[in-house]
Amino acid sequence: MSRRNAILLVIGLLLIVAVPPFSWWWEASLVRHMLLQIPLLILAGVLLGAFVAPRPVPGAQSKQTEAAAAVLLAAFCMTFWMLPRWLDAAVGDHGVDAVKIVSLVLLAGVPLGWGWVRLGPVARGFVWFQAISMALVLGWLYAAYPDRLCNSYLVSEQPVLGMAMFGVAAFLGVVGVAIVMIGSGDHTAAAESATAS
Amino acid sequence: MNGRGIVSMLLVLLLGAAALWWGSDGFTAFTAENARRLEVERSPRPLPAVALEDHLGAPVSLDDLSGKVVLLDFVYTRCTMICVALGQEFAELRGEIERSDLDGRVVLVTVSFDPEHDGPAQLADYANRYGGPDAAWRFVRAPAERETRQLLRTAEVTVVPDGFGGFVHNAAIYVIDPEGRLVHIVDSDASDEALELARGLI
Repeated sequence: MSRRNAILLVIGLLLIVAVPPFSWWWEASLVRHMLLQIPLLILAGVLLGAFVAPRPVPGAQSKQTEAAAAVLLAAFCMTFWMLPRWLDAAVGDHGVDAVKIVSLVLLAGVPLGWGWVRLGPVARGFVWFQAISMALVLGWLYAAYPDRLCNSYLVSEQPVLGMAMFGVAAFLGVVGVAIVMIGSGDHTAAAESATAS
Repeated sequence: MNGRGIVSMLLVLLLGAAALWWGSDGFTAFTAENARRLEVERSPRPLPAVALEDHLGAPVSLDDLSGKVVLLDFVYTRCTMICVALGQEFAELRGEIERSDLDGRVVLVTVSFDPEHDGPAQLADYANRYGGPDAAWRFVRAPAERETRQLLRTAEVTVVPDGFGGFVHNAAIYVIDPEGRLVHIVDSDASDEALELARGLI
């Protein structure tokens, strides 16, 4: 993807999911909030980090550890906004919501995209696997938890989100297997960056 | 492995763990419900002095009840689920209070958060389902929508339309100390606990 297209896509994404009053529509439902708005905000950041930020230079000193740190930063940021109380706070308070939107783009998406294009295949596989298990754990939590996790949402939405999370896990699993089967061995960070730019 | 990478890794670990620690009150409160209960116990908060009226339309003030412990709940009278259970819980509480030495020192107050629909007549109707209002159990509303919201915000009650004309709300029993401060929030079915806490405040 060219830098220009990535920037246009990011602007488009943010206009749709991050700008009030549209953002409120996404946040009116637990499923839309968790499974569409938050992932799309992260995606906007990923595009910035992977296609707009400087690309890894082939042959330069590997930045595996920095890349891993960046992905870890993204994981912490996503975990924070998955705490039910902060999801609630974002719904009830526009200030918190603004922090959520900015941090998910800049502290989750950007480092994830920046780190992902620098990580080697093993590390990528590990991250992918973690994402699947995270989706399964969250799916199980939301599907089985009897009490309300979020005061702002109906308890009846929780099992729906749980099932959708299982769907996400299955989707990630299928895509992961497909990438391994199709991408026949030459999926190193350098090769990926060469084809992508 | 390089120095800069390791430093950034450690920094991320430290900051990330600190953020999660801060955001969950030291890994104790993951939901808004737990968070508000902890917060209230740690720093009791005065309820706003809003103008209330009872089932007769007579003005009531929470100040009138100062010196007494108040067990308070928020309901809307059309509610068919949790508020009914809360009503029964409070009816039992009233029985226990009137049979004990707490009579006159602990007062039950039911507040409607739906003043638009719940006028004095609806409050009286709701009260009569549980044996009617008396000195030990008051039924009130804040006629001004703004003041209702003020009360709800202080107690961190979230009211969400349920899509069928009713509401979903995080029901609980609110324990107000003799100085008029909200000091505890307990589960809506934990009347024994609420009474124990009330006893401790007298």
